[in-house]
Amino acid sequence: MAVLDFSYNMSIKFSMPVIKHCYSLRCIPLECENQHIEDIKVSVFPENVLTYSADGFGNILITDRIITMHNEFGVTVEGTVSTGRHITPDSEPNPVYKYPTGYTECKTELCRLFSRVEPGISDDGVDTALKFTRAIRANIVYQSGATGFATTAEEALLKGAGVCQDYSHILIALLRKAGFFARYVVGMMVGEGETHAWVEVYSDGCWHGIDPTNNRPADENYIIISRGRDFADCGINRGLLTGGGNQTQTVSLKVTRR
Amino acid sequence: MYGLIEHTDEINRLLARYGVKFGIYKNNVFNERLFPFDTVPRILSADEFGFLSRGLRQRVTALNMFLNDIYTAKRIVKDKVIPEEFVYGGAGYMMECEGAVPPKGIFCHISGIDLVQGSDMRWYVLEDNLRIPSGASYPMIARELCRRASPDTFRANSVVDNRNYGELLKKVLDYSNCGGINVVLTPGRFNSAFFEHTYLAEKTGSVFAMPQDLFVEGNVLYYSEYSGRRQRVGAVYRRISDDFLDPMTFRADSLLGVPHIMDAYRAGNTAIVNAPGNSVADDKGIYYYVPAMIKYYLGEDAILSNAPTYLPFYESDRKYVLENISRLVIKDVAESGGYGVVFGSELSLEQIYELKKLISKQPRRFIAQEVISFNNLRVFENGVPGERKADLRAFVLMGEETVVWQSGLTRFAKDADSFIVNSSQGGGFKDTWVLSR
Repeated sequence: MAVLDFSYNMSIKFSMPVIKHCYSLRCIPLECENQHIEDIKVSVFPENVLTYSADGFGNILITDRIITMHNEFGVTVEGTVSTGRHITPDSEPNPVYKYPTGYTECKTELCRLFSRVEPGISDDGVDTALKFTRAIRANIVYQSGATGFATTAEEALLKGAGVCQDYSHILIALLRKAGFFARYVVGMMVGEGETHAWVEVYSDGCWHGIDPTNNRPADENYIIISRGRDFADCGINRGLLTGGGNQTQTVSLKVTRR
Repeated sequence: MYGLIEHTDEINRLLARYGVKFGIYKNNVFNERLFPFDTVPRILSADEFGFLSRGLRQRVTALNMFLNDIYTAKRIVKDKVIPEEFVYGGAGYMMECEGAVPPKGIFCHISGIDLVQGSDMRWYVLEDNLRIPSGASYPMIARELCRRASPDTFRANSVVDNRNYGELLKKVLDYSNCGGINVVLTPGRFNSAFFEHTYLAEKTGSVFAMPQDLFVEGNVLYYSEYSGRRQRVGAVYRRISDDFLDPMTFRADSLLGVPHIMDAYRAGNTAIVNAPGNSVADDKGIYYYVPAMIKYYLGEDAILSNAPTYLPFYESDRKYVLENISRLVIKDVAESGGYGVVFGSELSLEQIYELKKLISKQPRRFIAQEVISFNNLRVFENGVPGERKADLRAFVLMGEETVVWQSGLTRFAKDADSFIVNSSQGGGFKDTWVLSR
């Protein structure tokens, strides 16, 4: 068990005024097994009422629209979360987590990698995920900027470089090919910088958090924000703008352990 | 009835003037086409309609239960009545709708079930259309014109009046309404059924809206009037497909949708008619399992038969399909509107070889059906009698009660030797008479 203080801020500056702005923000820590929100403060800028919604994955969204002209948009979420082991019981995992998505489809490169690690597959999802993780790390290096939002697992592997999004997509692709349920997680970890992504694999009636980028299981230093089939389901900020011109986004995140 | 035939040209002229048209996109070009009307109706006796009605209500009741189940408990998959991958491996299941139960548990407010009558006079269900089935307005307006052209015909025959469709539909909207006005939402005039959208708005007393007339604030859907005054919307009869319905949830590039309408729906503040997510139930692969679904949810045998269908997914069916491909119809499950339908008998040897290879490689993608020997219907072409293959789209409406509209759209093929009756493939339509005795 640990108690973590966090502070997340995302802001966008527009080169031209935005006249109408619809937004859906997925940036609030989940209340779930082994993760409890002790305290939370949320605000959006320009100031607006907070409307909450949910998606099919059980994630929390802040949604609404702003119809006053603005040159800047932002959200701040601060609070305290008590965390624990990333092992979540689930008696009925949704079968969608077993099927490939656009980001996680195994084509030539992934199939090749899969067949190399296939002998290491066991019934134990965690053990298999850690074996896959080692194989992934032998084939790609961490390099920020090497890939983009739209990069698929196959493309990242082919490139041999990527960031947490790519490590996670590749691991998910391999796990699903091996017949495991696997899902994408967006969250925060102790330290400063940006949000992080990792994977949960289903084994023995529970979801287990695995962080392929750091080659270790997710633990009490990790805070879950959202889960989904892949990156596309966990977008932190989805917006629809009238006006706006060019956008510059800045993100600041700080998580400290008490 | 001969009183009607002599008015054929006149009625078609009036239909054209009223704008009763069908739009077709081909190679990204939009063409409007008149939907030729043949005055000789399809006639269903009271008994025959009673039988169809029982079967259709049973079928739609089971399909609606299936949708409630799939987006919540998933019992039918856990009990292995339907293989998991037919639900989750295709494009029909929409994760965005997971856990979202519509007002009053109704997903299929309006179902268009396509049937054909075989030469053995048995009825077979060919397709369940649970997304945005169109076409009810055609027999409505054609009946109106026929009654005017030849009132004697309707005096002499005891035909059930079909002009109550608007009232039936209004009841459905009112029953699901979460508080506020009813709205018919059209994507715009380049939709193939634009005429129908305006017509149904008028007949149901609903407000006719374009996407920009609606907005969501605080999870509530509103209609904005010209004056700027807003009115709360409790039910939307949307004629926009799920993909384009809400750019915040589905396709982000949709300009036809209403941002956040899914949030208003999830919050229980508005009914979406038909509910989003129905694509999982009218998939051609799922069609195969409808009789099993009826048995599973209702404990009854299906009253209406499916056309004999094979799923290459099952090894024994695959073997049968590969051996008999030249006399079967092969359908691509991802396509609709008469596209992706191939008759084995019309293929060259090379094409058969290619198709067999494709089926072996992607068995889940196809279904195969026996070619049903149709009971042809009589048509008059420039006053000369002929025969055409025809189907019947029956409209089933689910509100407080589930009812089958006592009429339907009878579509017939363009040419005497064609089997495809979809309006998007050419062809015309007839009125469907249900007799009161």
